[in-house]
Amino acid sequence: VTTPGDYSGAMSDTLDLDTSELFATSSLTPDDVSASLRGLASLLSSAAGPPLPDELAGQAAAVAVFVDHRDSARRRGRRRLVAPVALVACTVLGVVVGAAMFGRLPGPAQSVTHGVLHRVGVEVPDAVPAGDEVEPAPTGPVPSSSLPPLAAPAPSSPLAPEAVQPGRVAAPPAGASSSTVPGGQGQQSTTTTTTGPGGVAAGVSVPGASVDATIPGGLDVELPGGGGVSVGDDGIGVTVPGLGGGPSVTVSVPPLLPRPR
Amino acid sequence: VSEAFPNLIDRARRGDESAFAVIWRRHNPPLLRYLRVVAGRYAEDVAATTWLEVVRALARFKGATDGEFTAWLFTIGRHRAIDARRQDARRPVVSLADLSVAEDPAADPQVIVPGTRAAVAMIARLPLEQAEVVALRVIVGLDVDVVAGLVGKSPGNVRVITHRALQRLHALLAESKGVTR
Repeated sequence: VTTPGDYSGAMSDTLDLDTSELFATSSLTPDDVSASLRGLASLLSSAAGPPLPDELAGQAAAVAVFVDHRDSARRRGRRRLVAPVALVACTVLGVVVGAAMFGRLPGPAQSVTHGVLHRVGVEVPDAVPAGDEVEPAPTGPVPSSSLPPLAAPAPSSPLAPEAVQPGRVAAPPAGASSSTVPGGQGQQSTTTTTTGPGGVAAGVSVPGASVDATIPGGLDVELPGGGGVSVGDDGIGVTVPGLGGGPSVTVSVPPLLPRPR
Repeated sequence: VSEAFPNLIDRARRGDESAFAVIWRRHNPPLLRYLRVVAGRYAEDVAATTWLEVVRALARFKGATDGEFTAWLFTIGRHRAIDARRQDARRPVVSLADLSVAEDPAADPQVIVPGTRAAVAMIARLPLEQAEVVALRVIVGLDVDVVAGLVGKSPGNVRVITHRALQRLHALLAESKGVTR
């Protein structure tokens, strides 16, 4: 085995394959080689020399790129985590509020939801005390007569007809809760909820429009000008008011699912 | 006492900029010299692009040793240098007059000792294949097997290329001595 020391002061001028390997592995210094190869040894040694100042000048920029990438990667990571959590939270919240509006939450949960939403101006039915459970509303067909005058509540609805007339603030019927929320331009909107043997009914009246919901039994929405949407066991009915005093148009869609018998 | 590389790379992977700075200081000088040999005037830009790619892919780098990181870094740098050369096929030709050959007063007056920059420029005058192999083996200090993997040749072939390159460098040096005198 040839070692660098073997070449000290005794190296031939020939640059053979083995000597080249010793140069390439930095095993030879200028002192290890003959005078004729000393220039090559010096050149290779210089090429592998210590860092020059300009070779380290870009450190700040390189570290800045590193920090920037790291921070943006962490932000992306947080966003990836937040998005599904937010989606699930919104979904759960929507389901809870929806169930609360229809009075379908278990008693204590319904009471808590009622209290929380009441503070933000949204009225949902409170829990019905034990023993006072309402009879489920009949699941039979909603009389078709409810479709042309869309504002008319379903027969089972205890909601007062006045509550769904357009353009007026409804007065809550006896036994109903109500709240009044200031609206824009000095107007006010009123929400009413009532419970009764026919189920739970909720009504919202704002200047120019009113919404009346009765669950179960259907949903009626009355729009200004005589139009409206009615959703019930008979299907969906949409009434579009006529333009220029013309007759209104009503479209009825039969229920997609067979009515339970 | 320098920190062990596995710790450094692990800290850098977890976003520690001081660890990344140590790695950069250790590897940028040889990277820049290698790129000056194979990418000429694009060396600075290619080095910046290489480090950007390293930063982006560091979390996915599975190696732990300095050798593995060096091989990975120079693989990226080599590919970016090839891209740069494709954009401009001309390699810069360094004239002998450009070489700032410095003489070491303590050395044999017959031996000219080039500075680092001049030495790298001299290596860059070799044919690209030879220049690259010498840069990777001498400047970067990579093992012949690693270099063979990088350039896609057998270790035996790399040894032969190295030998021819050093013979040519030897001749260039003799030529340079004749010019500078």
